[in-house]
Parts: sequence; C-alpha cells; structure tokens
Amino acid sequence: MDFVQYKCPCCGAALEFSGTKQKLACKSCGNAYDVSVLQELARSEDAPGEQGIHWEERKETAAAERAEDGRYICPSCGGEIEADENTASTRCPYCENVVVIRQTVSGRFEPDAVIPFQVEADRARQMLEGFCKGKRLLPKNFRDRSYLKNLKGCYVPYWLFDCDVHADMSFRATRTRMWSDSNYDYVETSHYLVNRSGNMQFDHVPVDGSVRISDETTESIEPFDYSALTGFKPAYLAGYETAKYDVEADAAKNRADERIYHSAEQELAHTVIGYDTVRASRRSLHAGNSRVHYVLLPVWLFETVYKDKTYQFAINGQTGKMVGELPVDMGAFWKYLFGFTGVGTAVLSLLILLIGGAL
Amino acid sequence: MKNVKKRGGILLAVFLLCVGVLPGYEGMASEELKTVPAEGWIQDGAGLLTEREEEKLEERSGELLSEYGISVVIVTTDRFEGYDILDWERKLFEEKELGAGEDNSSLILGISMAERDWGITAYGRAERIFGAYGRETIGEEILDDLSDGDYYDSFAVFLDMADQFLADAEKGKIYSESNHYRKPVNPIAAVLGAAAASFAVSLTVVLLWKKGMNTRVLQNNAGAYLRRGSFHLTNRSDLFLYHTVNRTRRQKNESHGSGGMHSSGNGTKGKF
Repeated sequence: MDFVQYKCPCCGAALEFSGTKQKLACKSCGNAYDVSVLQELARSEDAPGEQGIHWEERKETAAAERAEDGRYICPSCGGEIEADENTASTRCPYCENVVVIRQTVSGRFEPDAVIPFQVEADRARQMLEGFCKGKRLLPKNFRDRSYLKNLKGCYVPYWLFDCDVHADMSFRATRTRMWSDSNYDYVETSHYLVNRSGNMQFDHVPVDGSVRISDETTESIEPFDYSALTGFKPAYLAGYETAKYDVEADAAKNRADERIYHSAEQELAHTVIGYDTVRASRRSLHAGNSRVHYVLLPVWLFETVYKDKTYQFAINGQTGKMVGELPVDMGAFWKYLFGFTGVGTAVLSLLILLIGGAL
Repeated sequence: MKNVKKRGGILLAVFLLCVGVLPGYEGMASEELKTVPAEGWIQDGAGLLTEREEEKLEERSGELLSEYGISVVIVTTDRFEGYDILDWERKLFEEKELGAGEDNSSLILGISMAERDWGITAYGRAERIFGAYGRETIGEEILDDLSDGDYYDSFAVFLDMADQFLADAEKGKIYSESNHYRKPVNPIAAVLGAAAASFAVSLTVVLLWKKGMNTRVLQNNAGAYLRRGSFHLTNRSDLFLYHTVNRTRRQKNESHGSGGMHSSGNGTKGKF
C-alpha cells in the first residue's frame, strides 16, 4: 500500500491544501506551494539517495501493514492511524502528519475530478458556531465550543450522472366558466386531453457514493459550481479526510433517476398552461446516452451522536452553503413550552380582565 | 311623673312608628307581589320550555322583580292572529297588568311561533333603561339561539342581560348609542381562553425553534442540472373532450338577525 505525504521543501513540516490560497501550505514556516510546482520539484529530485525529497512517495514497509484491528501505521512517526479500507486520506493523531493512502484513490477508485476546498477550517468553525448560537433547544453540552473539534473537512465521493431524456406525458385538464341568471348560478367545466412530448439533457446530477453520509445531508448542500472541477491530484486531499465510494454507481443511479424523471415531468407540466386544473394521467420517460463520473467534492462535516441518534451538519466546502441537523433537548423544549404558556396565560388573563372590566 | 309621661309618649310614638312604617314596607312588597299575574312572569303559551326550565326562568324573573322592582316578562304564543307583535305585547301589558311598582315598570319579550316574530317592549322606568339601543343589543344576543330553537338558552340570556342593564342603571350607567354595552367577562373563560391562546403561540414558537435545528431537505428534482436550452417540445396537442354544466339555485336574500330588526316607540321587533 502506498502512503503519500507532502512535506515542506523549506522546513520539512507536513503540508496541507489551503482552500484560500489553493496551494499546499506549510503551517510551520508559512510558505505555500503550487501543486504543479511541487510535482515538478519531485520529478526533478526523484533520484536514488538524494536527500530532501519534498514530493515523497514511500512503499509501505513491513511495519506499516494493516493491523488486525483495522488500523494503519503512520509512515512518519510509527503511530497507529485510524483508517479502514475506504479511507483515502486522513491525519495521524500523534504527529498530525497528513497521509494519503494511494491505493484508495488509484485504479478504479481514482476520481475523474475533484473540486478543491475553498472554505477554510476557521470560517467553517465560525459558521457552525453561528448556527448553534441562540439555539435554545440545543443540549447543554453543546453550549461550550468543545463540539467544534468534531468539525472535519472531508472529500465526499459523488457520482455525477449525465443523460438525455425523452419524456412523453398526457394530462387531464379543465377550464371553468361561470355565469348566473335570476334563479340559478351556472358552472360549465370543459374537459381536455393534453399531450406533451419533449427532449432534454441533464448534466452532472450528483448522488453521494458514501453510506456514511445521508442523502438528505449531501443533497441539502447542493449545488456545487462544477466549473471548478479539476483533474484529480492526491495533493488536494492533504489535510482532509477522504473516503472512497462504498455505494456503487449502479446503486446510486436509482436516486439520480428519481430526480431526473421528476424534473422531466415538471418541465413538460410547465408547458400546460391556460387551464384551471391539470392532472398527469400518463407518463413515459426514457433516459439514454447515460454517462457517469466519479468525483470528490469538498464538505465540512460535523457528526455527533445524541441519545443513540446520529446528527449530521454539513457545509459545502466550495460555496459555504450550510445545512444540518442538531440534537434537540426535549427537556428544554417542554420547559420553554410550558414556561411561555404560563407567562402568556398570566399576562393575557390580566389584560382581558382589565379591559373587560372584571378587575 | 312628667318624665314618665314623656318617656311613655316617646315609646308610644316609636311603637306607632313601627306599627305604621313596617306595614308600609310590607304593603309595598305586597303591592309588587300583587302584580304577579296568574300565569306567572314566564307565560309559555307555545310550549317551548319544559316545566323545569320554566320554573328556573320564573325564579330568575322573580329575583329581578325583588331586586329592581321591574317585572321582566317572557310571553310565547303559537300565533297572535293579525296583531303586530309589539301591539300584541302592549295589549297584554295592559290587560294582564304586567307592570310593577308605582310606575308600572316592565320589560317584555314576546315570541310568536307561526310568524316567527320576536319583540321586546319596555314600560315605565324600564323604558328609559331599555331604550332602542338596549333592546336591539339584547335582540342581537338572543337571536342566534332563537333561530336555532334553543329557546331556554335564549330566554336565559334575555334575563341575564336584563339583570346586567338594570344593575348598571342603578349605578347610573344607562346603555345607549353613546355608551355602548360590553359583554361581561367570565373570569374562568378568560383564563382558559388566555391559556389556550398562550399554549398555541408557545407551541408555534418552540416548534419553529425545533424546525430550525434541522435545515436538511431532500432535493426531489434535478432542475438545477438541466442543461440550459436543451429542452425541446416534440409534440404538443390539446384535445377538447366534453362539457359538464352544474346549476345551483341562487339563495334569496332574506332578512336574518339584526338586519331585520326595527325599533319604534317603546318596542323593538324582528324575525328569527
């Protein structure tokens, strides 16, 4: 198994990809390096026995073998790294070195493209903190800032589906006309059969390829700006957690089909105008010329378990769109409900009795 | 001796005063009670009330007479044969001597089932207390129950409002166009209403808070990924199938409630 580590050519510290600079940055000496420059440097210095290899690729040693408990050994400090067979990039908990496990981002697992992070960790933490602020129903242990450490930058595996759709639909529609004479009101309803067919093309409909992250979370942070898609380089993963897909494209396709067909129906329905009621009576949808792309998209993810339920909070690592579900302290819920009811009852009663002259 | 005679004179005077005055009060009460007609204050000729209901209303009316010296009468009939309901009430008032006290004060609610007429007339002191505004206000309050056939409830409201008007009149407050009547607030109902409203508002607030804890929403469509300009209609047809016509008879505008209420002289009448 290949581990890839990116070390600063200046001081040797671990490099991390900076969303703001769009470069690999060194937190130790403050230098930042363009990915292509580092690659060029590595190529030129990749000679046997040469010291100061900055683009470092090491073959897994015997000590780095995967342990029985599913842990990997950090090639830098020898510490155990928590990772499973899906982990593509992570951070050593001891030396803080960022590690990319090449095997999970190569071969059939190599992404076609990636959108690098543009939202930095500090901004993501501020956003999460802002989201939690003022939430009176948040459990007490979320009131301090310790929960912020659970916020992690993750590259989420996505499948992007392209297809051409032919949709053929029939609608039953009505128009009504009303008039009256001296004795009766009349309503005349005219019934129509409306047929529509059309072609359309969908590009890059995203479906996440990870079991761990719910569709609700990943779909809520859409859309991503696909113009920022760039060819995959392992360097982009430095400093972030990445898992390869564990939902196959065929399985993810069903969700894409649902969304595409629903949109195709809507497009045709929007052309049925001038009626008072419209109801779809027949639909026939065919998708062809399908293409699928495997990409990694940047997401800041906060996950917590509260009373046996997992809550996810996510920030689009490119656009900054923030969604999430935070746990609700039901004790606080009832406290506020009955507290407000009590105070409201007292004040309102007093007002009513005063205005009504009963007091 | 002279003092003894003087004291005896004073005692005699006190005795005579007691003998003279107390019968005077009794006589006044007797005078009022004498005005009670044989049929009572609740004369349910149309048979709208049960015996128990009639007793309760009679008792309530008696209390009003004792407290305010004004008879509050309810008269119902199957039909009054050609009379105007207010004239019919005036005739009853005179023939049955329904007035109470020296100024023959009375407030009468009359109902005729055949014509579905109701009328309120006031006499003596009551005429000033229950002016056109007061009678119409009471009429509005009793009309819904009358229309719904809830006669006991309607009559009970009539007596309660008469009580309120009379009590306030004793305090110098007579209701008129310039001094509107306000329904008395029931404290229990006020607290229950306030609790219900507060609970509803509080529940809305905390549910909104709870909803704000989850901003995740599944996307049901892929409209954002439709390639711009790629949608083309290849077939479009709108075929007329058939007509249906529904006809409903128009509602005639009938006067109902306070809209059909008329006041003249000492009376107010309407349909129910």
